[in-house]
Amino acid sequence: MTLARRAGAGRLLAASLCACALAVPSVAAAQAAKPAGAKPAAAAAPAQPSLSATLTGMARAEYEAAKLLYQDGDFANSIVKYQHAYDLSKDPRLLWNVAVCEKNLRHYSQMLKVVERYQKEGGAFLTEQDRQDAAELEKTVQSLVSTVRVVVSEPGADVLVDDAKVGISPLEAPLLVDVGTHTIAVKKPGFKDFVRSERLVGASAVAIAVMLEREIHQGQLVVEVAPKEMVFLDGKAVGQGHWEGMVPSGGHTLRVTGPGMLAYQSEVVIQDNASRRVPVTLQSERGIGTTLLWAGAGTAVLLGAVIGGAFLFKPAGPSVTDGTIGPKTVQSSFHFGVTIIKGAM
Amino acid sequence: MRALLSPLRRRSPWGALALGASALSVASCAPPGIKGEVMMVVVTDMSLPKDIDKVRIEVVAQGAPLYKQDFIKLGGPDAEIKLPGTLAVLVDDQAPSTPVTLRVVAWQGAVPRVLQEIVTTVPLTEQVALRMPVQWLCDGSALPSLDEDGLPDATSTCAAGETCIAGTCTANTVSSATLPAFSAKNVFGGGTGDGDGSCFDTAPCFASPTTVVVDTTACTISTNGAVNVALAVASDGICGSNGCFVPLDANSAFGWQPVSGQTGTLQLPQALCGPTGKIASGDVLAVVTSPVTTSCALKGESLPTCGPWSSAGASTPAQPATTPIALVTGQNHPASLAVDVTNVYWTNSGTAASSTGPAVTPTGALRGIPIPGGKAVDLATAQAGARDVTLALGPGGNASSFYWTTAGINPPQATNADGQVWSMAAGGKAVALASNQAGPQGIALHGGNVFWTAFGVYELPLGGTLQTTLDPAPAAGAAEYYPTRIAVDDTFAFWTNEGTLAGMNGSLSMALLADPTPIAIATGASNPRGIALDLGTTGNAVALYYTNFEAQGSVVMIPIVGGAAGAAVTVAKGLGYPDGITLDASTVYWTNRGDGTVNSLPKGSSGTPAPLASGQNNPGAIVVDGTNIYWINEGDPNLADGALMRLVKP
Repeated sequence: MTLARRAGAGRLLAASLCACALAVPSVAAAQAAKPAGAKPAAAAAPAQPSLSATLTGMARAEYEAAKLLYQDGDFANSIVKYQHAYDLSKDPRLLWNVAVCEKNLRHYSQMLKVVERYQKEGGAFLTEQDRQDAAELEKTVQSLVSTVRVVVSEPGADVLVDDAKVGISPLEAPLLVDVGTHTIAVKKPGFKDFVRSERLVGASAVAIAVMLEREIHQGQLVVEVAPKEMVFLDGKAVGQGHWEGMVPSGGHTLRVTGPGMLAYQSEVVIQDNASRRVPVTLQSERGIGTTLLWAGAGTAVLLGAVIGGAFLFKPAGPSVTDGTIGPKTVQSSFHFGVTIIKGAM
Repeated sequence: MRALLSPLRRRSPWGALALGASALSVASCAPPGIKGEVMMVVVTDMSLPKDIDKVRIEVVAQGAPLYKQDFIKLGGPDAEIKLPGTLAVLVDDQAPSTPVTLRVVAWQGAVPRVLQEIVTTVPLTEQVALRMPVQWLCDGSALPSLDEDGLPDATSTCAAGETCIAGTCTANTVSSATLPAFSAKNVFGGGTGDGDGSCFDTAPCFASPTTVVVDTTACTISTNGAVNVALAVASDGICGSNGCFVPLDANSAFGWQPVSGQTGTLQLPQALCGPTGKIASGDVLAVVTSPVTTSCALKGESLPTCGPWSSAGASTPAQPATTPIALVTGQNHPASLAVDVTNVYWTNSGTAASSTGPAVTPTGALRGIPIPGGKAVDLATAQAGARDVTLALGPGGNASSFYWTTAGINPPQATNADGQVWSMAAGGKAVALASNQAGPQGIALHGGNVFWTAFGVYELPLGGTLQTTLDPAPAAGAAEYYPTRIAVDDTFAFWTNEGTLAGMNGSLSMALLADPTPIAIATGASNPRGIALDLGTTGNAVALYYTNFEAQGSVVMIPIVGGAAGAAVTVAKGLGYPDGITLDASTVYWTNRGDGTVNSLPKGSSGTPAPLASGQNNPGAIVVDGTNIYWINEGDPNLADGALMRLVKP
């Protein structure tokens, strides 16, 4: 019998999972000794020649290498070799061996995928007994796997499980994730990363709705000036007296003027999510010279204009009336950072 | 009249609200800088947690969930929200015309009861209110289901595109342009939702309700003066001493509206009327009114109900501890009751046959209801004259089995032996332990045996068939002494012999369980009815209490010392038909059927008791647990107006 040939291997594997012993089922043992009670492969179909006998060339070489790696306990690399052998030969029995390796690595969700692929791509090559064994195995492993449905507000986001990319939003189907605690992440350039640790108990369905929030590059600017002094930012009047607000990150031109005072102007650099405080003390024009009196008159004219401008550029957003039920407000679209509470309590 | 009403009926309830709340100002006077929002206003006319203990609120846009949250423990001290509650759904500035679906589902335990789902849009700059009441009239509008993740969910019983409004499936699409401007004071009784403002205290406001006749064709009532209107229901709604009520909002499409041109005529929700309406089905026992007063303002949408669940009202009055509460009303001649740690159980005798009238279909029942109140459940129906009930308790203190008697639908005479003794395991089916009994009445359970009275006194081991006669029925022609109620301790069975109800020919008897020969322990009693044992620490009675059921009745105590009955002591006298009696460690409690009171006295004392409750409608059997006193109001002999009452122990 081949390395992980069909019914015998499948039942041995399933039995070990049922008992939760999770002892590594030796593929070699599975080949050598069909478990008691297992139907002989010949009973369902004519005996098939072993993989060693049917594979040729590079496929056989990869298969033999995979066996060596398997026997050495290097299941991860054994998978690579088995998979390569399959790619060269398309013998579905090699997929079964891949599944055994995945199981030994405790990669139950991966194992389910491979078994599904084994059934799908095995075609007429698989006997009815083979399919029954595969179905039985799937059923057994289901208790060790949870389905995680990840719904993302933005298309084109990478979905990662334990830092391994598993798809791009929108996902076509729920993810199969092994029992245990896993990190679910969703990432897309221009948006804040979504990362959540999820404890999966197996045989459960979990839904995670992910609202990606746009990365906003801004910081807070606090301008401390006298009450009657005007604050201009990048040429626009933003307020009179003490002013603070959120401004885009980067360099800005800050100008402060006051009646009878010399204007102040400076470049201010705002960093992401940082607060920058700029205290400004204007100097009196007196003693500077009569040539500046004209400027004083002009400032008075300007003051009337910018007071109105200060209202027009008031930094606060539109007024919202909160409800009494937390979170008090809900955005009615995905464009905003809406929190979705998962499932029922 | 119907033509006059039809334009109003065609409007959506929210549209009607808009007209009543200056919708024009919403459209034209919205101040600049206002972010548009629909304020979901979740209110209820039910009692929490009795009727509802969980609410789920969902917001969905374009098929995608935006918000989904369950709020649990409602009505309790650690409730996650209080009602009314509001949640602002903010406009999507980039797509303000996107429809949003707002959904509210209310559960009691695992059972979804009410589901409301509204589809609307969020205005760009207006803040409007969308009322989403969890209405009793819509009870049953939610069916249990599972969501795509296999978690409990609910689906609407209305057709697609409809939702339940005032008990009727109605189109669920609402134009936000018809919604009124949101104002907290119009939701929270003039307050902000933080326990301030006013609320409507339903039970006291309907303490003396007037039952009104409903024109079930037009679905209207005629009233005189300013009144509040409520539905009297069996056990849902807000319960007080005089029943359970669901108040209807005035001038509201969710409640009642005045009929134009007909002073005093009020239009009720159509769901009440018609052959399938809630009046015809018996879900609504009556429509009642109560005058609007200073302390009971007109109950409108802006005045939410008071209660521990309420976010309005500086104090949210709980029922005063000294006031009994109806757990269930509208019962068909309740007869007996028992209590475990979770529920109260009682029997309804049902409609009795007269000795000369036609045979009747048995309508008695064994029922149960949670101690705090809630939905009454039928445990056994079609019972022919159900009488006394007792329980076998499991390790946790909950009933593991029920035992009761049915006297039969014929008048209980010794020759009409169609009575039965029943048992039923919790969750199981009723099994007749004994049939062909002559008017069985009392029942007791002790030591793996069931005892009952049926013109004689009998005992049967549970699981056995060998019936023992403690006291045989009198031979034909002999004087009937009519054993009625029975109680058992580790050594004796005790029972009352009512006699002929015609004189002082009643008596009390006891019999050794090991040697069932009746021993008279009191004679010359006048219609002894109720019996209760004061059990000592050894499991044997140290005293027996009973009631003499007559106009100048009494409560009598007989000490039991050394297995023998001592001299009877009258504990209280001059009582109006004392009936049921029970004891706890310190107190004896009894009902006076004649004057409608519930009374108590410390054990070992005597004198004139002060009533714990009065105004009761023919109170009968009574039991206690560690916290409460429970009794049956048997009600009018010709009506199905009995009730099960609860009162916190003083």
